[in-house]
This record gives sequence, C-alpha cells and structure tokens, in this order.
Amino acid sequence: MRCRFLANWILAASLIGLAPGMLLAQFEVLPVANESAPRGQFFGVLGQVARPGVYELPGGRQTLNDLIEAAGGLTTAASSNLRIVRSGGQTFFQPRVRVELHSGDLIVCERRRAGMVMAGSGSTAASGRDARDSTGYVTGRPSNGAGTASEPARSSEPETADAVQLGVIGLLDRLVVIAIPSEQATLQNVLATLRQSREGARQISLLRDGSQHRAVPLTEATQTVLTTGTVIVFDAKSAQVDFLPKLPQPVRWTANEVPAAQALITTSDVAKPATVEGMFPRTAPQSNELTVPPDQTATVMDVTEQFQTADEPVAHAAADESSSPAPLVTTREAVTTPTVDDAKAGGTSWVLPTLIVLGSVLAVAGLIGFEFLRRPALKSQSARAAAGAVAAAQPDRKALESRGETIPSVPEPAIPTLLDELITNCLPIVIEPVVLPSGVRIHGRPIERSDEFQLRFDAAHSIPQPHVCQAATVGVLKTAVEPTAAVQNIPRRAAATPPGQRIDTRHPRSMDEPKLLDRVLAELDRSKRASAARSSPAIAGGRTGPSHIGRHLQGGVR
Amino acid sequence: MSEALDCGTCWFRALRPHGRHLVLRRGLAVFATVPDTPAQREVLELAHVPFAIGDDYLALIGDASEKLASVFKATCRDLLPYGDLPADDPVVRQAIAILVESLLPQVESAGEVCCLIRCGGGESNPGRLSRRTEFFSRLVRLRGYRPVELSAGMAVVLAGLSDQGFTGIGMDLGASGCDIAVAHRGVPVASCWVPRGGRWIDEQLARRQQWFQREPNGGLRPDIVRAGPTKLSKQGSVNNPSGANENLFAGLYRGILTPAVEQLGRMLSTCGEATLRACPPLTIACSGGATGVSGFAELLQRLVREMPLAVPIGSVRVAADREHAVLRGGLIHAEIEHVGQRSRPAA
Repeated sequence: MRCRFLANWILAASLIGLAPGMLLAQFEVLPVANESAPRGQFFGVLGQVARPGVYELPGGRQTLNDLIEAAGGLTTAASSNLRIVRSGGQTFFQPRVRVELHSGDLIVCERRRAGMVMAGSGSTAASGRDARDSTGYVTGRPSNGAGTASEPARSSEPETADAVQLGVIGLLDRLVVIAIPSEQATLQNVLATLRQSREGARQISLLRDGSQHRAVPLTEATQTVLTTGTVIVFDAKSAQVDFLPKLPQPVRWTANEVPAAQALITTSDVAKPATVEGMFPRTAPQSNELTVPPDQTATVMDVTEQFQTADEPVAHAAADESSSPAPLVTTREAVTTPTVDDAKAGGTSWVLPTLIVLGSVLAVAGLIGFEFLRRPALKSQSARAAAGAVAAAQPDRKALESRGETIPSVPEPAIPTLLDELITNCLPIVIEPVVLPSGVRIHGRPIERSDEFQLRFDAAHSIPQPHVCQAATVGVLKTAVEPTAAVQNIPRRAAATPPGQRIDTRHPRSMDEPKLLDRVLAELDRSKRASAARSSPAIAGGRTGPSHIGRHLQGGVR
Repeated sequence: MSEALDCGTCWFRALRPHGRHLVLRRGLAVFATVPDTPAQREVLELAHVPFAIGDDYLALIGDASEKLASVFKATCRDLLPYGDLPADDPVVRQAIAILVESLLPQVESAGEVCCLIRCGGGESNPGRLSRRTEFFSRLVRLRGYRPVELSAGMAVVLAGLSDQGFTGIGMDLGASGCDIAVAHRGVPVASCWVPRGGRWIDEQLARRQQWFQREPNGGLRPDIVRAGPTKLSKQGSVNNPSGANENLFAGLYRGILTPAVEQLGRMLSTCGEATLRACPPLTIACSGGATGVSGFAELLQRLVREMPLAVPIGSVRVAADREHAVLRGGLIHAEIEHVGQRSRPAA
C-alpha cells in the first residue's frame, strides 16, 4: 500500500512536470508549415545486411546501392540475389545492378546457399576488398581461388542473426520490419504479436523467396512457419490498427549525418557502382560503417515481449511508456518520425526548450521510479497477456478438441502456383475453336492496295462439282497472259485430270477443318439445282456444269 | 484469370489458363470481302459460315476467309500486312476488332490482366508502333481486361530462361521479323528488331523454287502458302547442308540470322555491356515457327561465335514449344501482374 501510494505520487509529479512541456509543445513545436514539409521516402531492407530495418531516405532518386549503403552493406553470408518487393509483387536483382527504388520498396537480401563460399573470405583485413569482385561488390559465386573453397565463410551475421526477420506491409502507411525468435516464428504468433484478430485480418498474403506467392486465409495456415525474408502483406482495409504494438521507427538517413570518416562515400561513388566502397561485409572495420544515431540503431525490434491481447491495451501502454519514451503507436496517423528539423523549425524561443527539457527529465525520473515499483507485477501481467494471446489465437483448436475431432496439421505451403507451372511449362495446351459472330455490321468500304501481299488467288475459271482436296501440285491454268519461263517449269497436273477442271492443293492450314469447303460447295450445288428446277424443268437434275454455279457467284474479286 | 494475346502477321492467338491446362484460341489474320448478293448470303448461312455485313459486301474473317476466298473469287488479305496496322482502312480495323473479340473471353472479374505481345520494332517508325499498341490496348480494354505490353523477345526470356534467372537473350523469329531482347534478372536491358522473318524465307524460297501464284491482273506472286510448310519439312540440317536445295535453304536462314546477330552485337556493345559483362555467358533462347528447322540452333551458335560480341554468349537453345513460347511468356508476365495487383493492399 505504501509502495502504491509512492508510485502514484511519483507518477503524478512526473505528469505535472511533463504537462507544461507537452502543452507548449503542442502549441509551438509542431508548426503547421513543418507538417506540410516534404517527407522522405521509406524503404525497408532485411536479411543479410548489417542493419536491417526501415530507412527514411531523402526525397529524389534513390537507388538500391543507396539503401544497402544506408543499411551498412551486405554481410558475407549474403547471396548474389536481392529480392525487391514492390506493390505486392517481387522481383530479383543483383547488387551490382543499379536499380532505382520507389518509396515503399522492401529489399530482401537472401542468404547464400550452403557451399557457396565468398571469394577471398577469411583473409586479412585487406580482404574486405578481396571479398568483392572486380566491381567492388560482394559476390555470391563459388570461389575458385586458393584456400577459399574449403574455408568456412566468415561468421558475419546481421544484428538479428538469431531471429527471423519479417517484412510487414499494409499495417501502417509505411513498411515495418520486425524480428521474431526463430522458435516462435509462426504466422499465428506473428499475428498475435501484431494484435490482428481473425475477424480483422481476414486474409493476408505471404511473399517468400522464389516465386511462391499465395494468399493465406487465416483459418488455414496459422501454423505456417516463417523464415527470414518472408513478407506479410495485410489487407489495408481489414487490418486492425487500433491496438498495434510499438513498432520500430524508421531510421532517417541523410548524407549530412554521415560522419567525417565516411567522406569517401559520395554521391558520385554511388552513381558508379564499380567504385563504391560503401558495401562491405559485416566484419569490416566499424569505422567504415555508416553510423546511426544511438536511439535509432535498434531498427529491428523483438516484439515478442510485447505479447498482449487486444483487451488489455492500457496496461501495455504503461509498460511501453516505462520502457521507452517512444509513443505508443495506436493509429496510422501516429506513425510519424519526429526529427530534429521539426524541433528546430518550431522551437524559436529558448524558454520553450528549457521547459520541455525540465518536464521531460521529471517525467523520465517519475517513470523510472514507477517502473521500478511495478516491475514484479508487470512480469506476471505480461505472462498472462502472452497466455491470453495464444489462447485467443487458437479458438478453433479448442473447439476441435472439445468436439473430439482431430486437429489437422497445416504443412508448409508448397503448392505450385500457376506461375510455377507456367514457367516450368508443365501445362498442356488445348486448342479451342473460335466462334466468330455472324451478322455483325461493318461500316465503311475496304481499301484496295496494290502493294498488299495476297495470300492466294485462283484464276477465273468455272467450278466443277464439289471436289476432293488432294495433295497434288497446283496445275498451270490457261490465262490470257502467257506464263513466264519460270512458271513453265511448274509440274503439270496429272494427265488423268479432265480438261476444264482443276485440282486444288489442299491448304496446309485447312487440315483441321477439311469439310468447310465441301460444305459450301454442296450448298452452292443445292441452290443451283433448285433454281434450275424452277427455271427449266427440262434440265433439272441433268446439268451440273460449272457455268451454272458461275452465275451464282457474281462479282468475284472486287 | 490472366490472358495473353499475340496479334501477329499470320495468326491472332490468345492463351489463357483453365484448370490444369492452357486454352489456345487462334485465327488466321486474314479477311476477304465478297459481294452481298442473296445467293451468296444464303450459301454462307446454310453452310454456317460466319460473316460480317458491310454496305454492299460480306466480310469473311479469319480461317473461313482463306478457305472460301477462292470459292467466291475474292482476294484474301492480311489484317496486319507486314505487321503494320492499316491506318486508313476502317474495314480492316473492324475486322480486327471482331477477331480479337472472339479470341478473348469476357472477363470473369474486374482487373484481369491481358498481356499484349508487341511484335515489330518501333525503332524505324515509333509512331506506327505506338498507334498499333494503342489500338489493340483499346480492344483489350473493351473486353474488360487491363492490358500490359511485352515485347516478343522478352516473352521468350520469361518462357525459356527461368533456369538462368531470366538473364539472357530472347529471340522470337516471327513471320514479319525477328524480335530480340536482352534481359537481366527479368528486367529488359535492350531490344532490337530485324525486319526479316519467316515470311521472308517463304518468299525467297518460293522465288528461287519458282513457285508462283496468279494475280488478278495476270501477274505472278510467290506462293508462300506452299513454301511455308516446305521449309519445315526439310530433312537436312541448315547448319550442314549437303545438296543444292539444302544450300539454298541454309543460305536463306543465314540471310535472317546474320543481320540479327549483327544487330545483337551492336545492341550489346551500346546498351548491355556494363550490366552483363559480370554475368556468366549469356544463353540465347529462340522461339517461333521458323526455328523448328533442323540445325537452327547450331547455325545460330556458329554465327554468334564468328561475330565478335561485347558480352560472351554461352549456348543457344530453341524452346520446346517454339510456336507457343511467346504466348506462354506473355501469360507469365500477365500472371505476375495479376498476382501483384491482387496482393497489393488497397489504398
């Protein structure tokens, strides 16, 4: 009781001390003009880089090299493939390719497969350059140099090597990169950590290495094991953002923040990949790495300790305030990056910063004391919250168990997608007939072209009875124009062919429908017989000569 | 559902997935007009031949026009002569629209993607190419699809170079020309167009073999309909010809491939050298009906080795489904776009 009174007193004192600063800050330190100032572009990078996370780079054209440089360069375990996730799709690049990034791009640096040893790895300090190829980049190709094939690659892992790094899209208005302990890296745990209920996040998508992409209904694959580089795409409309945990803030990186030791890395160097020295393995000397402000270094945070159900937001908020001064992210609008420029633009008087500093100091002191007194209770509360989250994430399992049904185990999704089947060319092709409409009106008149290539033309001659297509050579037809010497060499038709008839060469493209021509000719003959019977009963059924059909076919070539 | 549409000089084709197989619709890119007389209309109706009705003529579109043009003494004409869209012929444009409408099924849901294969180079006349692309894009939109464009060479890369990480050279030997694209990790680096294709071979082969057809005015034209299947029925190899006919045949293929390799060399030296030099030797994937002749890959590889190129070339391969590889590559592109669009969070 005495401790609780003391804690409340300290908290009240801290709030009293913080209040003037907060009020003044709302009045003065957040000018409207600065809110409308152009913000940078957000990019995410995870996987085999020194400092994975979300980076805010200045506006303008940013390349893949810029982002990898901001993230501290590739590790020695990085493969030669970089995966870029953009607008829900993904594609692959090599680091040496100069790719212009768009705001919102997420770069996944894959891990090199087993057996692929870095060229020059394991050498001296100067081998930091040896580990790169001639263009100055780390390569993932198998080494053929002396002593490298059997040597293990240098142990160089990103800062969250023992965790599974995941990208999250659709929760906020920017990317989010989180790290989950590998033993807890299931989709179910991640959703519970992000406080996404089944009703809120009805459907998400997973983007993995390779071309495996599938929409994952939550009712099917909550036990899906996630690996580093998996990108979870939430439906922005259905995602629940009211009780999000504290997500990592993006790191603002500008050229001005590069320390003097980094003066070698210039824009011109980035523009010329062959001379870039900013991409080095993780084991390179720290002085060569781009430094990040201390409070922004932890860009990938382990959010599993913030495991809490959505029905206990207040207690969790208190825990967050005690552990970090960063505000609890509760809405999309709250996810903004407080910058030094903001404070400079708004804080024109020295009184205000003083009040803010004093209030902040009192608040921090009060919160530290408050946290010290509440720590035992907080531990048990977190444990209860975690248990509640797990229970909330498995309602179907409990229901199944109560009904005595077997619980289906959801395997790793390895369903070959249509894209995989198309790429591997394992789908047979079925030819479907084309049904053209009949009776459609066409307007205008066709234009005759003298230079147009005509596919086929038969000289004017009478048409005999419906004839059978034969695989014979087209005979030379007698016309008014004498054939040239070249034409005379064309083989004559068979001698058995009666004069006045022709033998059509079966068109190679008409193999699939040989009856069309016969059908039309039969109709022609039928109509001819009917008209002949009407006009002259004497010849009905007798003459089937070609001149009759010729009268039906008026016009010919237009 | 995704769709791929290839409107070429010879064929209009559409490919789409359906269950565990792909469905191909195709129609010859020709049409013919016959006078609109009661007798001819009656004959067509009784024979169940679809036709369109003009002011005073009937239009036969697609396969029926080629089969029946001789019966009705009509002239069968290309819808896209030499791959170009006639700018001043409204009848041809309407015939194209009818054929495309028949090839593309109605969309099942909004936002379905149709990849439009772009064949023909825009280097010489980019305005003409853009007009054709715009025209077909409108037709695709009228069917409810979202059109995306892809060159034939890039479609070959997507269809045939997956084991190379979609890095390499795609070459589509079509009827009106040869489309070449250089890609790195699925991203086009450079492309070019050589206006010589399978029809050029047919023409030259018909001329040299003296296979002609009569024109209405009594003139003679090379019989490409006869020469087309002949070139693929040759038993000998174009790489090692033995007789006179095979020498003639191999010379024709060299007449296409030599300027294509020269163009490829210029393209690699200007565009893709910086990006592709560090890559392993590139693979050339070929497709198209004319690539089915024996010895095509060996001939192309020999020509590539004889030509000093800025980027090393590894092997040459011909797609197993050489006639449909372009469509399959277009379908891959459409599916990628469709999946990306589907998984994209709504704004």
